[in-house]
Amino acid sequence: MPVICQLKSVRKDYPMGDLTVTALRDVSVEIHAGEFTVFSGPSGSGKSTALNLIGCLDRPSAGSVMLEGRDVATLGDEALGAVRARRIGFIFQSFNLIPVLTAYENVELALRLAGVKDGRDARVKKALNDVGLGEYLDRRPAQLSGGQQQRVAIARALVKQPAIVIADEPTANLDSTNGAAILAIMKEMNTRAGVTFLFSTHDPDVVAQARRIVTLHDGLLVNDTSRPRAS
Amino acid sequence: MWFLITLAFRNLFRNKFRTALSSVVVMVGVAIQIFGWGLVDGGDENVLRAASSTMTADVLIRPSAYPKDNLSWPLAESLVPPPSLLDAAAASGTLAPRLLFNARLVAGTEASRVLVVGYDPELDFKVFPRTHWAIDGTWPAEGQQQVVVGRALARLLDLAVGREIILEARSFQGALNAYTYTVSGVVHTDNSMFDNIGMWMPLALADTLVLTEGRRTHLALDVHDGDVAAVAVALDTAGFDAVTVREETADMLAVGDIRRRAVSFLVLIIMVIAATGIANTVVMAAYERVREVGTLMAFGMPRRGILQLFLIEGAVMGITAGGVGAVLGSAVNLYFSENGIDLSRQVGVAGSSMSMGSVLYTTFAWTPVLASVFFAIAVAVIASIYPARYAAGLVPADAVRAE
Repeated sequence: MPVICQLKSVRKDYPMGDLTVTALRDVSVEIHAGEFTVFSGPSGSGKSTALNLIGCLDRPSAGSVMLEGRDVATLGDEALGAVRARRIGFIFQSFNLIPVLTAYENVELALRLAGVKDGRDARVKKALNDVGLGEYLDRRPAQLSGGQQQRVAIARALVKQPAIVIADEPTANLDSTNGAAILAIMKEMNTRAGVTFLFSTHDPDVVAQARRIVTLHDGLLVNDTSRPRAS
Repeated sequence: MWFLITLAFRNLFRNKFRTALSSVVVMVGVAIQIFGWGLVDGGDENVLRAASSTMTADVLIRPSAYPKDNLSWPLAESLVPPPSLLDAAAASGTLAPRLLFNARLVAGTEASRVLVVGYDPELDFKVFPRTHWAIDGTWPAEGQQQVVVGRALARLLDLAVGREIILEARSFQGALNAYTYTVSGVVHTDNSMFDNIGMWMPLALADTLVLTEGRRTHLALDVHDGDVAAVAVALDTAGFDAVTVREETADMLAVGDIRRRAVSFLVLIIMVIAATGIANTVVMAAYERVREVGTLMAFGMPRRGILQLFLIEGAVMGITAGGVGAVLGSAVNLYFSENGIDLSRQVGVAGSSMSMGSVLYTTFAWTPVLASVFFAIAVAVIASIYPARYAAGLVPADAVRAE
């Protein structure tokens, strides 16, 4: 499968007063289309930093971040925002839905920001149907359960058909039943539609579902294990 | 943009109480500004109307040496108007000659200093139609020793129609004359000065009392056509000064201007308080919504979009609060522009030479309303700049994980 994303000798430093904390040290990794990959490691290992860089939320201190063959580390704020808007979907631990928007509007927001004008209504409804929330279009986040909110977040991430979906601890705020259901939806999207997922997680269930596990420790990539696709 | 406006509007309703508190100050500021300006403009109109309907008409012509302070009325400075001036004035409109002088009114054991207005019964009614005047009784009949007195003066001296009074005055030559007259009417004019100290008699009686032999102190011109200011300049001839009603009331209008500035200063203070409240509201909104801002950024909203969102929230608050304030201020203004504010206690004091109408009608105009709302919006947007910049400057990687 083609390479969607690549970190090349990436280092990320954070200035902390007079000190500099290095969150990633010379990390190189390739993410291929259709992968279901987990970045694992203890707190402070650098997995969130790696996801931030791949998700174009941040820039490396050194090295390059290639997304679909383009070095995004050199892009300005606006161009980076445009890349995020069109090519990257995000699923967050705390769902991060906009409270004043309905489920429909939250999903539509992703298409608006991606500049999609045609067929928006049909795409939003299909995305919400796909996660089983076709009947909850007009509900605001406060009127939905945690599991339902995370489903809306998945629909929002997928509606624009991104190159990669970055999921930061997506099951951490859910009970095991809802967590499993959310994971099943994402697994199904990966299998059926070939959506590329990249996780940061401590959840053993998520790790168990991953076909590839990239382990980070103290900012270093210490292990990269792939499992064969189940037939 | 419409989406941002919708989002901004809904965001403001997330904390209704906080938004309402900030908005109330803006509303009060706008309402005070509109009503205050209406009051001051109404005051100016009141002064102009009082002067033009009783004293100056469009153009007032006086002997050059005659005092302009409306406090003393010396017969010594009266002049016989030259035919050239009368002809020139008549070519521009209708001219009403008057003779104003001080006299002493004695009614039984009571006495008071009064301002006598000698008027031409035919011309004076054309130049001063007395539309808004009210009279108990009648104006003096021709050939009768009759006078009309101002209402506050009548009240002070307990004068009623039919009462006999004695008027003492020094003639132009300095002799003391006194005649007995009958009060034929008690008048309420548009001008408190005449109500408080005024007494009206036909010119023929005045000439007899003070022996002025055709001398006049005032010539009031009702301009039929043309520019009033140009007419005044043209009539400003040797020996006589001609002024428009605005020039004549310039001092009073200057006071109005000071009042207008005072209102504006008060509104400015209120708006500074409002700006602080709005800034606080939007700052709190920005601090509370860091993760939300991060999410919008993560999904590609550019920094200028975030900036616009918070500025629009401020603007929506300004528009809403300014709009409500404008409606309230306009409603109060319109009420008093119809019903007026009774100032008779303030200006209707016998002996007072304050030249104002006893009822003040506020003035309603769209310009101050629109200016006030625009000002409120500008204040709200300016107050939102700091929080908007704070939100737009957030680092998306940190903001999406903010608690």
